[in-house]
Amino acid sequence: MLRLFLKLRITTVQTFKLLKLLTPMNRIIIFLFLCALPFTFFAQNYTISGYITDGKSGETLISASVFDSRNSKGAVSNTYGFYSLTLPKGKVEVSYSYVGFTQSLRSFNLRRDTVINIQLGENNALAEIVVYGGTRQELGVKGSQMSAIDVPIEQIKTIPMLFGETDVLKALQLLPGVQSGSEGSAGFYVRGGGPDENLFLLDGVPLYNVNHAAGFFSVFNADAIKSVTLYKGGFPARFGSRLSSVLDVRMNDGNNKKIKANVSVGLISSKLNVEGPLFSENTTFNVSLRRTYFDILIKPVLWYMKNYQDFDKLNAGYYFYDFNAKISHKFDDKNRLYASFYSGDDAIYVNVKESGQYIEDGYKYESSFSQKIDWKWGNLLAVLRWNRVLDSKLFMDVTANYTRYRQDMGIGQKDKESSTDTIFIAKNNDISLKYKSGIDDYSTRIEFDYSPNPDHDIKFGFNPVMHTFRPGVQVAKETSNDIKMDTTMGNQNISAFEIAMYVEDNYALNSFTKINFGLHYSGINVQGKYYHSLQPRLSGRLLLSDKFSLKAGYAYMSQYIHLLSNNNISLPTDLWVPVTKRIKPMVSQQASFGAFYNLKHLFDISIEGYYKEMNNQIEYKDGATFLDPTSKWEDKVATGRGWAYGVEFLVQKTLGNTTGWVGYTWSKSERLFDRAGEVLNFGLPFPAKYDRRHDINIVLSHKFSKKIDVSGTWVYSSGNCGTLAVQEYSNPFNIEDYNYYYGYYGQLNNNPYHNGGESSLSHVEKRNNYRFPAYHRLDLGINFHKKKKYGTRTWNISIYNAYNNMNPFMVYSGYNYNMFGKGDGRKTLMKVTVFTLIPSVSYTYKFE
Amino acid sequence: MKKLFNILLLLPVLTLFQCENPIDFDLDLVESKLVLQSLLTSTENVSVQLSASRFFLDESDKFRKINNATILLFKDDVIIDTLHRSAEDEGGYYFSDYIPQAGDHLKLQAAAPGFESVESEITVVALPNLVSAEVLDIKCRAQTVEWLISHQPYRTYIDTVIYYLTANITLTIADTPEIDEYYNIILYLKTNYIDGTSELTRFPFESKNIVFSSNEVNVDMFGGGEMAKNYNIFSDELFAGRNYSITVNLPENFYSYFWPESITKSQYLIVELHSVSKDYYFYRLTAAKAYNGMDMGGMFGEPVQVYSNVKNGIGVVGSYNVVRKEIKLNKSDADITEITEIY
Repeated sequence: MLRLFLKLRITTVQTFKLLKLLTPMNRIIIFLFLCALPFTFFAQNYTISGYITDGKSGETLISASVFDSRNSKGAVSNTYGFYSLTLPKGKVEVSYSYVGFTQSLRSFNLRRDTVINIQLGENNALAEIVVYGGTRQELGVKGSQMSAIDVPIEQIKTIPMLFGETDVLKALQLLPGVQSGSEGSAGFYVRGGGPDENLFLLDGVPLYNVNHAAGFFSVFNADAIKSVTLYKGGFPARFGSRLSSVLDVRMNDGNNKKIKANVSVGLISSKLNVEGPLFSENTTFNVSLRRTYFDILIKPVLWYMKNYQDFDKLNAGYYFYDFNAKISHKFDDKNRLYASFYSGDDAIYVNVKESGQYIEDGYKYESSFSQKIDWKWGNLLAVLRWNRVLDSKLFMDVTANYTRYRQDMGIGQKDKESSTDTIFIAKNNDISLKYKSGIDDYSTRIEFDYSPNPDHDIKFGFNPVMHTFRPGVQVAKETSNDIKMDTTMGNQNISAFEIAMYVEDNYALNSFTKINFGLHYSGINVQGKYYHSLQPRLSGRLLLSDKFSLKAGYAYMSQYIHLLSNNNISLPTDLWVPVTKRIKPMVSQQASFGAFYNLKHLFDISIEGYYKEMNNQIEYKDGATFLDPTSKWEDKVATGRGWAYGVEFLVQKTLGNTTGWVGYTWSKSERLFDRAGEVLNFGLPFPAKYDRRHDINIVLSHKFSKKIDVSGTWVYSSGNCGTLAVQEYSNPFNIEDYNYYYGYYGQLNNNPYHNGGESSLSHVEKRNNYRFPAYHRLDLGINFHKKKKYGTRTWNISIYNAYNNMNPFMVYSGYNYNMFGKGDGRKTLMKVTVFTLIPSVSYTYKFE
Repeated sequence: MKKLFNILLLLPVLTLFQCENPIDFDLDLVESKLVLQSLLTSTENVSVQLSASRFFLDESDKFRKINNATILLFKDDVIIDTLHRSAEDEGGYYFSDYIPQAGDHLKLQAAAPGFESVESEITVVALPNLVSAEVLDIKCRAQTVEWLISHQPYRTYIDTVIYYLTANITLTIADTPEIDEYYNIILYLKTNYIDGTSELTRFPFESKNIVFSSNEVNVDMFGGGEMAKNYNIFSDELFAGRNYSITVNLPENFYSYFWPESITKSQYLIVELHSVSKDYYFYRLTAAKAYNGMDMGGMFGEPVQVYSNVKNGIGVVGSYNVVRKEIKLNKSDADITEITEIY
C-alpha cells in the first residue's frame, strides 16, 4: 500500500488540493488512514496464522478468538476461518476459543512465522446446557462494530414458525430495528428503509428475490446455512450497494470427517441435507433440497373436480423448491477452492381443457376450450471461490459469480368450434401472452485481508459487476379467423456496469478504543451516464470497563438499483430497475450511537439510537400501476427524500438452559416528495409505508432435558400505514365520462348544475393516512428428541398464533357477514386474517 | 400422542370460521365535510353547489345536498354578496347576481350547521388568445355495411350508410408571458337540418402533440381497459410566452351524420379554446387519474389524491373563459370515399 502511495508520487501540495475537494467526513477518514500507516508498516514481529475449525465436523469457525496472554494481543478468524496474529519474538501463550468449544492452548517460543491449524473440540462440560456461538468478538461489548447482530443458526431453528418451516428472515424480523411486511410475510424493512434497500448475500453474492410464496417463506434453507449476520448501520467499508442493511449468510462447507444426513418431513415441505467428505478429508460437499408439496396434496381434489365438472383435463398446482450445493477442496494449507450453487423457483401452473359436441338439424357441432397458465420465478446463483494465503499476514479471496432473478409468465387460450354444416364458419382462436422480467449479474470480486500487527486488520478489495436488467417485456400473439397478431411491448433490456472498491481498517488505538474506518467507492455506467460516489464509513468503540462500552457509527451509502412494487406483499411482478439518466442513485447517511453492557457473562444488553437521511427515494405516482405497459417505468415513479429515526433496545441471552432475547423499537420514518413534476401528497411529508411506532419482540427457548425443549415468541407492533379514502363526495363535473364512445367529458362550458347527474370521487386526505389495527401474536413450539439406532429423531409440534388473534393481512370494504351468512350485514371495512391459530407438526431424522 | 394429533388436525377447521372481521373506525375519520364546487366564468353569474361528503362505508346512494348554508362572496376580501337559493331547488345550488370579470380575486366562504366552515379563493382567468383555427384534410368515409345472412341461398341485409368524418385542426395560441396558463380545447360539429332544427355533437379528438404528454394513459397489461386520454387539457409549460400551434385530429371511427344531403342544410366545426385556472387544471388531471386508476378495484394501482383548493373541506373552485370559432365545412373541400363492407 505504501509502495502504491509512493508510486502515485502525489506531492504534498497536490494532496492538499485533493483534500480540499473532499467532504469533511472523507478528510477525517483519510487522516485516520495516514495516522495508521506507521503502525502498519514498521513493526518487527513474527506471525502465527492458520485456520480454526470445528474438530467434529471440520467446518471452519467464523470469528473464533485467538489471544496471547503474555502480550495481551488477540485476533479473530475471518469469514473463512483464517486468522493471523503478529507478535513480538519470544515466549507466547496463545489460546484459541469459540463459544461452546473447549479452549485450546499453545505455549511456545516464537522465532519465526508459524502456521498452526487448530481444531476445536466441543466442550463436554457445556453439553447439558445450550450454548449458541456467534461473532460476539466483533459485535459484542468489545467489538468495534455496531448496529450488527449475529443470530446463531441453531437458535433460529428453535424458534416456532408458520407451518413449522424454519425461516431465517422471519427469525431476523424478531430483532429490534427490523420489521416485517404484512401478516406472515417475509418482507424486510430495516430502520425505516424500503424492501429493496437490503443486500442479501449468500456466500458473498447478492440474491435479488429472497421470498417464496408472495413472501410467506424465505429462500434461505436453514439446513444449508452456517452463519447469519445482519448489519443495520455502521456498515464496514467492504459492504455497499444498498442503503439500509446487509444480511451476510454463509453456507456450510460440509463435514470432512464422515457423511451425515438430515431428513425432515413437515406439513407443507420436506427437506433433505447430506454432507460429508468426498474421496478424502480435503474435499467436502454439502447438498440441501427443500420442496413443498401443496401441488401433490391437492391432486385428489382436482381429480374430484375434473370428474364433477366433466373436464377433459384439469391440472393445477403451486410449489417452490430450494436447492443448495457446495463443494470445497483444500489443495494445501495455502489454497482452498469452493464452488457454491443455489437454485430456487416458485411455480404456478394451471392446465384446463374441456370439449363437447352436439347434433342439431342433422349437423354435428364440436367445440373445445383449453387454458394454460405457466408462471415461474426464482433465483439462480453460482459462485467459484479461491482462498489463498499469500503470506502469513495477507489472505486473498477471489470469486467469480453469476446471479440471476427471472420471472416468466405465460398464459394461453385455445378456443375451437367446427361443424359439418357448410354455412357454419369454423372458429379457431389461439391467444398467448407472455410477460417476462428479471435481472442477470456477472461479477468478480477480489479481496484481501491484511493483518500487519494485532492492532490492525486491514481489508481492501475490488468488485466489478455487469448487470443486465429486463424490466418487463410482454409478448402477445393471437391467431383467429380474422386476426393474426404478434406484438412485443414493454421496456428494452438495460445493461449497466458497476464497480466498487474499498479499504477499511479495524484499528485498536489503545486498550479501550477501537475503530473501524474505511472508504467505499462505487460507480455505475448506465445509458451513457456515469454515477459514482465516495462513501466514508466509521464505527468506533470506547470500552469503559470489561463489561460496558459506548459505540458510535456513521455510514454514507449509495444504491444504484430500485425495486418497483405496488403492493405490500412480495409479488414476482415486482421489477428491479437501474438508475437511469432521469432516476438518480439513492443515497443515505446514517449516524448511530449506543451503549452495550454484558451482565454476568449471561446477558448482552444494548441500547442504540439512529438517525438516517435518504435521498432520491422512489415511489409510484398517484394512480400508477405496473399493469400499464404503455408508459415507461420512469414515468410512473416520483423521486423524493426520506428520513427515519428511532431507538432500539435489546437484551439477549445465548448461554444456559433458557436462551432468547427481548427487543423493543421506537421508530419513525417519513417521506417528502416535493420536486417539480414529482409531487406526492401535495408536497407535504407523509409516513413511509412501514412507519410503525412500536415493536416488541420476545423470543425464549428452554431446554428441559436432552429429550425435550420448548420455545415461544411473542410479537407486538403498531399497525401498518395505508392510504384509505375514508370520505366520498359528489363530483358534478362529469369528468369520469372521459371515453368518447360513451358520451361527454370535461363539460366546462356550463355551470356545474347544468350538467345533470353527478358521480362520486374518493377523498384521500394524505398518503398513508390510515393506520391499521396493532399486530400481536404468540407462537409456541415443543421438540421431542430421541436417540435412535442411526441417529436422532425429532418431533416438532408448533402452534402459530396460539391465542388466535385476528391480525389483518388485507382489508376491503364489504358487508359484515361470516361464511354462514351470520352478522349484522352493515357495510364495513373487513379485515382478512390469513393465519389464524395454525398448528403444525414435523418429523426430522438426523443420521449420525 | 394419537389423540393430540387428532386435535391438531381439527383445529384448522375450527379456526377457519372467523377469518374475516369488521374494523372499527375513529370518529374523526367518519365525520363528513362540506364539499364546495364551483366554476366561475365571465359570461355567467356566480353559482355554487354545496354538498356533504359521506363516509365511504355509508350505504346511501346519494350525496346529501346542503340547503341551509350561508355562503358569502368576497371580492378583494370585501363581502360583495350573500348567495341565495331558488325556492324549489333542493340540489344544494346557490347563486349570486354578480358576474365575475377576468382578474377578479374572489373568495367563497360557506358555513352550515354541523359542519366546519369552508372557504376557497380564486382569481378569475383572462380570455385565452386564439390567433387562428384552421381545418385541413377533411375526409369522409361513407360506409355501407352488408350483413351476410346465409350462403345458400346467398342472402344479405344492407345496413344504413354510416358517415365517418376525419380532419386535422390546427390552433395557434398566443400565450401570455410570465403567467402560468392552462388550456382546454373542445370541438363540436354543429349540423343545421333542412327542417330548421340544429344539433350540436361533441367531437372527441386525438393528438400527438407533446403538450398532452403529461396526461397519462392507463391500460391494463393485457390490452384491456379504455384509453383514458385527457387530451383536451394542457398547460403552457412548454411554450410559455410564445405563439404555439397545436394540431389535433378527429378520430377515424367516430360516427357522425356528415352531409347526408337529404336532411342536412349546412355544417360547422366549432373550435373552443378555454383558459382554465390552475386549480381546476389540477383537479381535472387528478380526478381523471382517480377514475382511471380503478383497474381491478384499484388493487394494483396507487391511490390518487384528488386536488382540492377548499380549506377545511373538499372540492374545487375554479374559473374558465372561452374563445370560440365557427368554421363552415364545405363538401367541395372534402375527400369522400364510399366503402361497402360485408360481414
